[in-house]
Amino acid sequence: MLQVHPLGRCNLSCLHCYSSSGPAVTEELETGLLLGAIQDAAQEGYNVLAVSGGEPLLYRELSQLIECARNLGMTATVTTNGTLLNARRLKSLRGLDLLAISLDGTPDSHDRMRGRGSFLQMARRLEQVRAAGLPFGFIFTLTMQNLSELEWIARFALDQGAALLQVHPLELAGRGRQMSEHRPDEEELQWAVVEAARLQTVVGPSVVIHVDALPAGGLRDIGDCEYQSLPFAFLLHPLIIESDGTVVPAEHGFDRRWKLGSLYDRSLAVSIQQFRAERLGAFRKQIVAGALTDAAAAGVRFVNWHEALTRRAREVAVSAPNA
Amino acid sequence: MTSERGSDKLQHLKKAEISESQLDRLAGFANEEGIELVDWLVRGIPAVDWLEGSFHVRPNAVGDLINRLVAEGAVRQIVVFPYGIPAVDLVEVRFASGR
Repeated sequence: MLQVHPLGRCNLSCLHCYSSSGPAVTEELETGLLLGAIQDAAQEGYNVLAVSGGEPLLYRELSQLIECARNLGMTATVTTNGTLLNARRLKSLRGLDLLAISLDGTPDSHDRMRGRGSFLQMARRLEQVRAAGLPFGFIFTLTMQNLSELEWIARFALDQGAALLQVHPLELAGRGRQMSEHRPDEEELQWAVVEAARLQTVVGPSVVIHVDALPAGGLRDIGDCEYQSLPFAFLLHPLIIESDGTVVPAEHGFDRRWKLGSLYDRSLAVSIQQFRAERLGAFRKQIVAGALTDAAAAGVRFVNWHEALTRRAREVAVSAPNA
Repeated sequence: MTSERGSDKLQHLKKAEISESQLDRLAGFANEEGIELVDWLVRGIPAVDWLEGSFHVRPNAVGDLINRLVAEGAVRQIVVFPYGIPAVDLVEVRFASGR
């Protein structure tokens, strides 16, 4: 997956925002740079474009990004807070494979995280989304405290005609860094997997409930692969383009020591080529192997893999600051 | 915000018909001389809802085993089947617990 943040501006200022987006943020990427990056990513095997932000509906050329991805045979998704959806914007999303709408719990919980009235503002738009025939789903940010609300969300998703409910653990990045006591630990993640499986039988097949956690057994394949011959998309995903043009692996805000480059300095194709030639081996040895060891030591069945990589990168930076 | 885990509020995840200590005690009977565990079936993940099992035991130990199974409040059914003709030399004690 290529995850693109074309701008940092958002009409909301959510407490947990990993990209520290808000109304006063002015960073915005030139469309030409992004279109080139999407083409380069497709060449390297990335087959999903996920557009986030900030609030992507505020990016004027959003439809161009979607069209570019679709023409390259990529699946195109947009993640939105849903409060700005209207008929005009829905038209610009034509061809989109999935609209992912953020939903952080019951209406009260959602408003606590995103601002008073934000749940109602979003919920009122859903009828238009359905009328537009756009496939949509919800993304729920899992914290240490809110798993008990997943059932309410699953039933809401079913009632509203959503196709997907994605459960994504809180990322300790951006404003999320202030919320460390809310980070779901490994035990809570296991419970989330169990509860999601239970709720899948409750809602049936029309809503797919997916938890962003990797079975520990699957980690073997990450460590054992003959990586030199694999397409880059298999080795480093997701690839993130942040709103200042920086390209990083795994998660928004990933340690800058491991950035692939900036779209303002060189094309994504060149950045990938150079990273592959000069740094991929070290990344796998120091970060991937280290994260695998940490996961094995924890002895858990499901792992927040991208967080494990991010944490490992921070630990390596602390222990070898001049490396 | 409260620091209570979200999962702690989900009673259906944590409540079990049969506790871990009960499972340990029932399985532990098989460590005793003259009692052999021949079948053990547990249903329910993560909380155990239902357990079914069978012991083979000498005839003179049947009464004691049944008393102990009954003493475990979770056991709801006990079936006794004698083996051996003309003299019973082995008894199968089947039990089931939970819903």
